[in-house]
Amino acid sequence: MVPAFKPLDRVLTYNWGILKKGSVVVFKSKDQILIKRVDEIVENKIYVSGDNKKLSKKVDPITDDRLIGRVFIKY
Amino acid sequence: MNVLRLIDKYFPPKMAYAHCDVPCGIYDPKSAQIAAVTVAKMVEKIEALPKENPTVEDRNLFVRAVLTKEEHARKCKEELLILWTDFFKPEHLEMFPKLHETFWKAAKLCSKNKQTVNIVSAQELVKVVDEVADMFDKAKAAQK
Repeated sequence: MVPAFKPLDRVLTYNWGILKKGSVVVFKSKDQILIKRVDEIVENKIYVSGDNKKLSKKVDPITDDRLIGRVFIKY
Repeated sequence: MNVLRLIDKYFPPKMAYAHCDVPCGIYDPKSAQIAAVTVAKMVEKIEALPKENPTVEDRNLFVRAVLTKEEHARKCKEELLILWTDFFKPEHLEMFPKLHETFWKAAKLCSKNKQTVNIVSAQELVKVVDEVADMFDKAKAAQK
């Protein structure tokens, strides 16, 4: 997610309101926590991808139950 | 230091991964090595500046060199952290019993070089990062 987010950056998230295309979200994926950007939302499925398109592999669309929150601040 | 990082004391952050959703295997110690060498170069430049009656240009160079040293010491530490936590696995400890100690020493030297202007510390950083690179090359060779 460079240059938006670099290693050791911290983020704060919140989990209310309407999610929009372009938002950065933190979610659970198998046994990891991932941070990606929302590409589109179709019905209740959120399609996400990394900003670094060359290296970022395709992630299955996520649902609300896996969503930890939307990033609102980086520090 | 970013004041917001005081939050970490009460709410320790969890690690979130962004690079790939699966380990991509793209690691290279070169970035850490370049950063370490840059730190050493900046220390040389700072030490070469006149101590008495510096000109405005001298002071300008001093500030820029200190900022560059700080940035590259930080970058070196970041790159080392990625190698340490993402590339090296528990099985590598058998190959390199001093793996953790080497990374700890390198990380400490990154901090020391931010705090001081000392060519000996800078050269030590270059040397220990080269040791990390050597372990990386051997680990990669063993994977093939």
